Amino acid sequence: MALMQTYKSNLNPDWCPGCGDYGILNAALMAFAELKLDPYKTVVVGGIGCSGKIPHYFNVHGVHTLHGRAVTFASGLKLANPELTVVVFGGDGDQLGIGVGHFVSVGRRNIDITIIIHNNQVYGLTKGQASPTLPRGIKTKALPMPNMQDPINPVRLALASGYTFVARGYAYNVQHLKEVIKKAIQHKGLSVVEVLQPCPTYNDVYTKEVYAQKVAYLEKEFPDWDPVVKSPEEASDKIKRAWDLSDLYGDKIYAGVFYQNPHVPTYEERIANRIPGYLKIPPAKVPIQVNGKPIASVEHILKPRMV
Amino acid sequence: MAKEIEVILGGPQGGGIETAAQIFIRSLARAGYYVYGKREYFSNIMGRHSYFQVRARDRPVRSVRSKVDIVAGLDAESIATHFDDIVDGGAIIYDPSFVNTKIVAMPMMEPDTKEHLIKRLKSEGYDPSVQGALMYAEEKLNAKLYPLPYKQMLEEAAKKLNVQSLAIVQRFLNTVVLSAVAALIGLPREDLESGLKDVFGARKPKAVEQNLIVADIVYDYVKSNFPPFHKVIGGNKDDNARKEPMAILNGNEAIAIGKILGGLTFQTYYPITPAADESFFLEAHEQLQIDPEFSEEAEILKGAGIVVFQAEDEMAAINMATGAALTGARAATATSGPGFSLMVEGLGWAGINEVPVVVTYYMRGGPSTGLPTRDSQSDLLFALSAGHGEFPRIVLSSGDHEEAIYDAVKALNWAERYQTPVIHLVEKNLANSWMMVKPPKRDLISIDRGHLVSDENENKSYARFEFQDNGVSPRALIGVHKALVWYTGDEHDEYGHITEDPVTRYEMYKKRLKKLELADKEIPESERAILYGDHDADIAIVGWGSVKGAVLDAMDSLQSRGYNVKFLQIKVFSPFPRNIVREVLSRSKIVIDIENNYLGQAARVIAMETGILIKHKALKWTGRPITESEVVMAVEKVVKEGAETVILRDGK
Ligand SMILES: Cc1ncc(C[n+]2csc(CCOP(=O)(O)OP(=O)(O)O)c2C)c(N)n1
Ligand code: SF4
Ligand SMILES: [Mg+2]
Repeated sequence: MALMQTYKSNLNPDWCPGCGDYGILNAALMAFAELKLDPYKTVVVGGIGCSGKIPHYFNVHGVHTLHGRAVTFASGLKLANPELTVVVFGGDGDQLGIGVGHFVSVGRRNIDITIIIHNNQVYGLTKGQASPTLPRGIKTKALPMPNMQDPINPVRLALASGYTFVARGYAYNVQHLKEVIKKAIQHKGLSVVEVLQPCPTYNDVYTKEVYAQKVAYLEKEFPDWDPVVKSPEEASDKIKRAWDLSDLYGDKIYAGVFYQNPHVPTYEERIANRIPGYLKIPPAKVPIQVNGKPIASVEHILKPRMV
Repeated sequence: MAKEIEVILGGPQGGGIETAAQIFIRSLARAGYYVYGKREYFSNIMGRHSYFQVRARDRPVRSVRSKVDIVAGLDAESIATHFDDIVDGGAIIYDPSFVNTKIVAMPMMEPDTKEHLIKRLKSEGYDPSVQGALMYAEEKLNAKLYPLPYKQMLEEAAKKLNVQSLAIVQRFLNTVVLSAVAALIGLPREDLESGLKDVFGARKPKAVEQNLIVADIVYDYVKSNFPPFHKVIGGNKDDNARKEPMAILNGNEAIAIGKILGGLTFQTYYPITPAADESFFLEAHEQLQIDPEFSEEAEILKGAGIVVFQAEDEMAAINMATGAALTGARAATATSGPGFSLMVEGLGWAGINEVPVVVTYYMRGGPSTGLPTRDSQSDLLFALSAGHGEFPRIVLSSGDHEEAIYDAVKALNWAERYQTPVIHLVEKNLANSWMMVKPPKRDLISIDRGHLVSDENENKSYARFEFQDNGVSPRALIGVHKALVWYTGDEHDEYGHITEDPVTRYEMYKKRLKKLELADKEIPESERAILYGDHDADIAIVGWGSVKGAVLDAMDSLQSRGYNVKFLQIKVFSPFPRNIVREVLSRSKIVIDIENNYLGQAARVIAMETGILIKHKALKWTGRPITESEVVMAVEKVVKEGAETVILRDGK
């Protein structure tokens, strides 16, 4: 706990009392502490929303970005300096609404970053509109009329998009969530954790009482549960199983690690395959000048163009 | 006698015009000329009419004129399109089989183009066909016609090359047409050979050989079947020969080269014409090469490179570049109007967070998709004001390829020195034109990384946005310095944490905008606005971007017509060089603003920044670049007739 404090900034979150975001913040702080992340090599990237403000509450580098675009900033940070540990936090509206294109696209790359989705089924910070994860026909507190659009299942979208680590946690089970976040960060490749996040202020349908009854844990329910793909051929069976168990609207909502595939090369490895010095001297570390003189040469480019 | 020739080579997109023109440009350069060439094409991959306009002479050349000496077409549509683009007595090279083609039957010509053409020919009393077009050219323009039997040339080529099917030699059609032009102007065979070698390279000696066989057939045919053309310029190897070694570059290449020299290590993009080629070029040269002077660094940097990333859209492109910039990588993105529209929110984020990110903005015709492959200068006001709220930005524009190299370095330097986004404005006309450039001089290039935290030690009290008198706070790089930073698109305190406090807001807002004042103080105005020609001339032309080439080329002929003209090129629009501009304009009797847009956007900026209203304007919005001839015409109209707005419409 004391260690965890070192990862906490001195700012007080301005979330509503009882907000699930506190649980997510605490779980992440504990995960960072247990992983002993170097604060100077760790970046928390946030989107826009109640959840998006989270970078300011960590005592590591914090980048609070634009609505829906956190993943793009995070990708730039990581690819320019692959030494960094980069963790993205964003709302369901942020990442699966306005930013859903980035959420899917980053799946093609397996960049070694972690994405946490605060799934509260509403747009918290704009006062409770329906988010892309709210089911059709549901009328949460602030909605004038029931929602008319069907929901996205974050786990399934991630599975379909190529994420190599897909998990779900629950904001009020901080210990479990901490473990899941730790595994996600340790996974070499793109990881996502969907967090069921009660929003006591605007979501009176999917409340902590409902979740208390429904949330079940994969590793407990299925004693032989093993989400890790052992050989590449196994991937599709593991994806199917994960898909089947990731429903959000049945009697049970499973949490835990659904899928993990260590066999896909990271984007950083793909670059290093072409640019062999990339991991040792990534873009951030190239000494581009000596005493103000440029060191790059373009002679080889000019030569065939000289007349 | 001064030697000069200008040629249009036209054909269907994908039909080999591009290669032919590259060979032609290099052959002329090898023959001792200065060469300039621009490419016009549709937003289409195969079939629509595209052409190259190539101009060569014994002194530097930077633009095209409205009329050329020779039009040569691979197909009937090229002739129908360009028959009246020749000067009086100019030549048209075509295949006799084209003449029966009716304009109405040209499958790839756009319906409205057909309609305009048919109406025009009919109203002048000519048949709406290639035949009618050629008769028009002969009778009204004294055209010299060169009906060259392309098929016969190819058949002979097939025999000599020992190939059975005509379909295989068909790919030499571009060489047939090119060789006809070369023969007409008396381009020495050896120079054509050098041009072929330049383009095909040592890797394809066979292609060079085969093309030369084709060229010989055509040279012979032209010599024995046509009377000589009156403009046989031959080579240019004697006194007037170009002595200095130069590089032939297009604008995309020039900027990429500048970025590499400037230390770019991270480039993002989403494909868009005419910007994408820059990123492709960078990716092709992703392995860093180090100047031999820095052998120590070369050792350390073995295998290092530039990451070029194709993002999912332009929002990702700018934000990824911004993210990379936070780590200390020199980062940029390249785009065009539609892409920049998407980048605007990200630009504001970089602005409020004082991030050095460079956007190379290739203007094309807008709004919306507009004219995706045509020239325009209509995004100046947009670039200057894109984004809600106020934040400092540097907007600089390049007038030609050589400038573009150095400007690309400046953009990267200024971004870091003033910790703010820089928009480097160029045009389609720069991207898709080829010019001869003096190789960049290393001693003219320096790298300025701006104010970074100097302390290697841990700094627990570091504040990224610490208030400073000049607005520039020392920058700590994520992952490099032992100092924590926070960034947010919300207003923030010195640590980068969100605040809505009015006192902090007041200070932080001012601090950001002060950096623009600093840039205004530090960057000499003489670097931001450049005056060409006789400083005491009565007539001042004001322009920017690729208008520069047309105006500089026009100055000679204006001189010979008795107009003493100077040219004020505005290069940096923010911070605006108001003193020079005010001084030059108020000292001139007649001021003419020349721009490739409808509103006269630079003139509006001048009015805003100096209070000077420019009365005379020459404007163009057809999507084609302004020609030297149009500049001459515009000056005459203004001076002789007092015209306030001269509309320019030349070019196909
Ligand atoms: C481009 C843009 N559009 C709209 C907004 C307004 N906005 C702020 S937060 C938000 C929704 C946040 O919802 P979610 O991402 O689910 O986060 P939560 O507040 O629920 O944590 C919206 C639409 C914005 N900031 N930017
Ligand atoms: S509105 Fe909901 S999500 Fe936002 S802080 Fe309050 S409880 Fe949390
Ligand atoms: Mg939400």
